[in-house]
Amino acid sequence: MSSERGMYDFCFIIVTIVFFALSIGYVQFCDRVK
Amino acid sequence: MTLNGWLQIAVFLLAVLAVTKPMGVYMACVFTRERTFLDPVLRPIERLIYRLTQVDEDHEMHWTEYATAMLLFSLVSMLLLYAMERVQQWLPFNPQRLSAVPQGLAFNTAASFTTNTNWQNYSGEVVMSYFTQMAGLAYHNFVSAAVGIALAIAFIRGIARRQMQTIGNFWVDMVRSCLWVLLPFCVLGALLLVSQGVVQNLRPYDTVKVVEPAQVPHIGADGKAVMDTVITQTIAQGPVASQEIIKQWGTNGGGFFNANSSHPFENPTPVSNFIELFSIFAVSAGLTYTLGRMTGSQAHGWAVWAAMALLFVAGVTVTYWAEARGNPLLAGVDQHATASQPGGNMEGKEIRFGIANTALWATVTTDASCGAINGWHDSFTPIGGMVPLVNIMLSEVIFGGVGAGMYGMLVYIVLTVFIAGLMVGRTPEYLGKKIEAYDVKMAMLVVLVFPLVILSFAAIASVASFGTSSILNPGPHGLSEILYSYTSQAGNNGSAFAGLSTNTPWYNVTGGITMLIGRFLMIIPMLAIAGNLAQKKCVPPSLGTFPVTTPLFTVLLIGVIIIVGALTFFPALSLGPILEHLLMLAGKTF
Repeated sequence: MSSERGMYDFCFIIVTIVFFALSIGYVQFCDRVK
Repeated sequence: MTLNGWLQIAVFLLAVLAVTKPMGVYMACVFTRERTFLDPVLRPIERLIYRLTQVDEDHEMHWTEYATAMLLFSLVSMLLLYAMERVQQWLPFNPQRLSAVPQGLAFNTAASFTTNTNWQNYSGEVVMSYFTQMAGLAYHNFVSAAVGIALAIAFIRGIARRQMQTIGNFWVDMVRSCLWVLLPFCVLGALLLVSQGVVQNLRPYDTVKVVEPAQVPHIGADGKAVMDTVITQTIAQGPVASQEIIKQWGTNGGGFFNANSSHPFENPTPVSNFIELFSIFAVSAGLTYTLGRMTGSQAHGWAVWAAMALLFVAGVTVTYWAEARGNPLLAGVDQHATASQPGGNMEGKEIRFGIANTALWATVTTDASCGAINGWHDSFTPIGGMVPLVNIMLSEVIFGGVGAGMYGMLVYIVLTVFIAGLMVGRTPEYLGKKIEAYDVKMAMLVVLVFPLVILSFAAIASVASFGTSSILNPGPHGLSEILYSYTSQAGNNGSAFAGLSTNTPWYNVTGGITMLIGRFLMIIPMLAIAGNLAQKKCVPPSLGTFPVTTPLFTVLLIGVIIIVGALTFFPALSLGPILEHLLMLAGKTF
């Protein structure tokens, strides 16, 4: 049960980091399409 | 509708008008580093912060660096809040011994407060410890609002600067927003709220005997309903006033208590109600003057203010009219306002505030991206409830959230001058800057991502069992509840229509993602426009230049805002509140 909880925490942290990493990629995209 | 009600609305608008110039001048001074009366106190604190964080306050940033700094700051802040929620049972200031916030809810809440949304799938008094409320949620109330103001100022600099590669320094703009624009007014405002009876303490909750014991139904061990006699009541306490004022001043909206500003400990008197309402618009109204001052065209700032004010008046008029006329299905019930009753549709409204103040609040909180409430939008008539929904769908640019309203409006202005340029067959210009293909492409990315995320998630939730199982009202009202939920989260508003059980894995996860997309994927192309405008040279006005200081500009701007919003969302609205209104007139309820 506790490892399942840990897995959910890990997933949410990864989702958050991936979202912001993609957002930084989006910054580069918007800069380069000029 | 009563004269008294209209007078209260008029006094509110006059107060917003009165604060626009002083607040605008003050913020222009803060962000152009002119001296202000608070410098002797705040400047040493600011220098200390830069020394501790190794920030070079004279360093100027390209828009990509500015955006990346904002994203990294938001990432770290969000992860810290998530961690704090998950371990709050081991942290101090938890007299109620509240346990860890469940993962899905913690993710949704962390995304919510990082994005200045303050959507709440929980009741603050039974889920969040005092430590989480103060060090986690209130902290985000300050910094997420400061990020919004910083971004608006960066956009204004982009318009004002000539042939420059930079739009300011994110860290400096954010620190100055916190120290000069948010903190002093919140200290003053919190004291005013305490004077009105808003609580501010760290005590455990009180348990008191109720005046009149109540019979409450309860399912017994044998599965049969039994009646319990309730003789005590728990009264929640907490550091409310300090969180209440930034919730309003920073247009955050997340209530300390579940009942938000209809709770007597958050909003006890008509005076506290006015202070809280006024606080929602004060900074955003001031930013229109800041826009005019920093770009050297004060008349343009007032033209933008006028567009916002006209849309606000239209919204509050419709809401007040719809709520004051009552429910036509309650035939034979006297719904007229008299000296002894407020009349109209009083369901979901606090008797202390009445219909005028609830309609005014609902309009203001959704014009801005605040989301605080003093009545239940779900209980409004279909048309009355549609106005808050439409306000958010128009991207909350009617004064709007602190900073967010201004940069959202500036994107609409870019579209307006582009359309005006097409009409007269000239290259569009905005305050001497030519608006070119790249600017319009970025503006369209801002405009399109908003409905895309709302309508996609709302469509899935409307047909899948994991979405529809949360609906508490069938028929078109149920669709309105889902639509409002995603609109509010994408618009970073945070007010709930209610009637939808959103503390489920589907709504927690998709809601969190919606808020992140609604905030950051709109900010990035907006900053790209700012960075691009800053690099352009200024061209002198010619006969083909569309002036942005005239009533014609104000009318055209309003038209663009309404048409973009209406074209995008009308089909969804026609299946929700509009259909519900027509069916109500036909005598059908759900």
